[in-house]
Amino acid sequence: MNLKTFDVHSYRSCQSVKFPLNRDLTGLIGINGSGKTNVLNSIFLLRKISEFRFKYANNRDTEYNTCKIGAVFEHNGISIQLKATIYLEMDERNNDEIISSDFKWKFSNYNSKEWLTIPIEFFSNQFNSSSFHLPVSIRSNIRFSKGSRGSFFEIYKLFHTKEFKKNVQPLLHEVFEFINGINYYSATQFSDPGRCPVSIELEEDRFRRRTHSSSGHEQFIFDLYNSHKQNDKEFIRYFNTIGKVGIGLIDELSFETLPIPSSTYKVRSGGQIKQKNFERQLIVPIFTINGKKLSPNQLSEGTFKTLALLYYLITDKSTLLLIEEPEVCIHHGLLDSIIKLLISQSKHKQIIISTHSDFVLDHLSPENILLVKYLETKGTTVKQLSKSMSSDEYRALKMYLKESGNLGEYAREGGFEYE
Amino acid sequence: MSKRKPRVGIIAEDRSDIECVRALIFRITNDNKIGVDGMAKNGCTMLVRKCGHWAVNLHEKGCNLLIVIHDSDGKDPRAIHNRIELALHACPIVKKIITIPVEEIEAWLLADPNAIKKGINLDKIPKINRNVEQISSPKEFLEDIIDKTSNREKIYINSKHNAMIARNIDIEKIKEKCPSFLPFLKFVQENTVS
Repeated sequence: MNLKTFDVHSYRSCQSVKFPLNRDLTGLIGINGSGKTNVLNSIFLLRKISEFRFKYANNRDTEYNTCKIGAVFEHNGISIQLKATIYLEMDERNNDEIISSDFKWKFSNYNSKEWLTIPIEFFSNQFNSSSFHLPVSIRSNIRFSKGSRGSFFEIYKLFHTKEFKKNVQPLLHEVFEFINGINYYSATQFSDPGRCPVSIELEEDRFRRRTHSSSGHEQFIFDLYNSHKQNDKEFIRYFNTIGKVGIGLIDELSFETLPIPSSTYKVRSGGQIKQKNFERQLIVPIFTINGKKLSPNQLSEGTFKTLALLYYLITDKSTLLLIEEPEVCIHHGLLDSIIKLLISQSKHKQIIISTHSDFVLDHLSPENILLVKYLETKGTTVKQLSKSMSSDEYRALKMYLKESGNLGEYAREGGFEYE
Repeated sequence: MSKRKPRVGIIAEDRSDIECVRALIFRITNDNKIGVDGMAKNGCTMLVRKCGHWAVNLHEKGCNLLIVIHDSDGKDPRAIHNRIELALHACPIVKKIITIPVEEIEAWLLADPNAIKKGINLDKIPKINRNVEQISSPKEFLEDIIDKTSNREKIYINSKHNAMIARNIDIEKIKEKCPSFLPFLKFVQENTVS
């Protein structure tokens, strides 16, 4: 499955934006403030709405920001269209917090003219289990097409018709898996490795977060520890890529594990005290580089970022990976390898990057590029290069690439500034 | 009067090709002390446009031999050769060669499966039962066989792995399977081997 087109309306700087996406790699380029990050964030809303919420806020039209998104997914030649209205607010860190959302779906292999209103909760496999339960607040909000209010039982019945079960249910599951597998990697996420703790703590095998400011770094160390422990194929592939037989970023990676005795007391009525012991572990990551053992906070920013980016690029089960400025803090020799890895991994998962780097652009073709601009009247706009230029200009670009230079150089020389 | 020590300037499409050619020179000469310098910038159009200036720069740095390597990428090698030759009309380095591997330089690396095993530390030797100069995309072919042979545990990164393979390559195998390698081999042997 892949995301074929995406549109977003009334979201941050995106008043009304629609654009197609490549199956493999798409690059967003544009000047600072044009809205590239907003475009990536708007695609990431798909992931956020896939997380179960089971809450439908009252007065949502008036109290919260409302944006609309549309997406067309493609799966084995079948097209699945989504229209969603999302009620959201932004927290103090400028993150989107979804309050509620409505969904309409259309399937090319099932009543292709009809929009079905199906809450995202129905997409999970849980719906098929006998224990599946929907709160009344959701049941009462289920609507079918033409605005008529349906009931939980109507949609339940629909789900159990032979045709729906055969044609649509597997697609619902695929879509759910796809949007649940969208991940975001930001250039700033792993800035300043000095903020990374030298150890992490696990309590009953669960990650015990100690600080908020280093959460991205801690999470990466925790994910890395888990993968290292499992030592599965993905981790081996990752280690082979970053280690001596790959790009040679580190020699070795190891984790020291120390049990920490821990207990708590429970006082019962009558004064009986009971001690409860539980298991805690201190995990100490060690990166060996040029024979020296280093803690993660001693790694250079570029090394830390590359380790994290490649970890999520290679090991996670992302279906669509959104990467903001992969070039930040990376030497061009290493960046060359990273871009080649991005290109090769985009055969297995859809990847969308934003970039300011002409070096990155040098490795891409015009077909990979979406040009992002901010216009006073329209807000952020996103266009394919071929659509943002006249046919003469596009032919001139192709000629330039054939005879004179690369895409990055063309951009640096102002080739896209006046489009 | 003592003969001047060879110092090779390499002009290629990217840094990984320079590293790969450097490793091949060391394999041919069995001498990893030969001075090598190189210039490259992403892609063939840049190479053709810049190679004249780069050749002058390499000459000023002390290079007395010049190797320009350019993949044929399905195009007519003769035409590529002529374009580069024209661009090098004012090249101050007298001893030079323009070498054009069929399709991509990776075709040369595919000539020795054992070097791929050793270079990338694979558990087994990849099977390559084809005429390597007839493979339409040697880079993709190499990517696929590394993926398969390593049971998806290794990802081919040409910028790193090409040189690793070349450091282990048996020159006789490339000589036997890749006619496009022969002029390069002859040039290196005649000008560097004492």
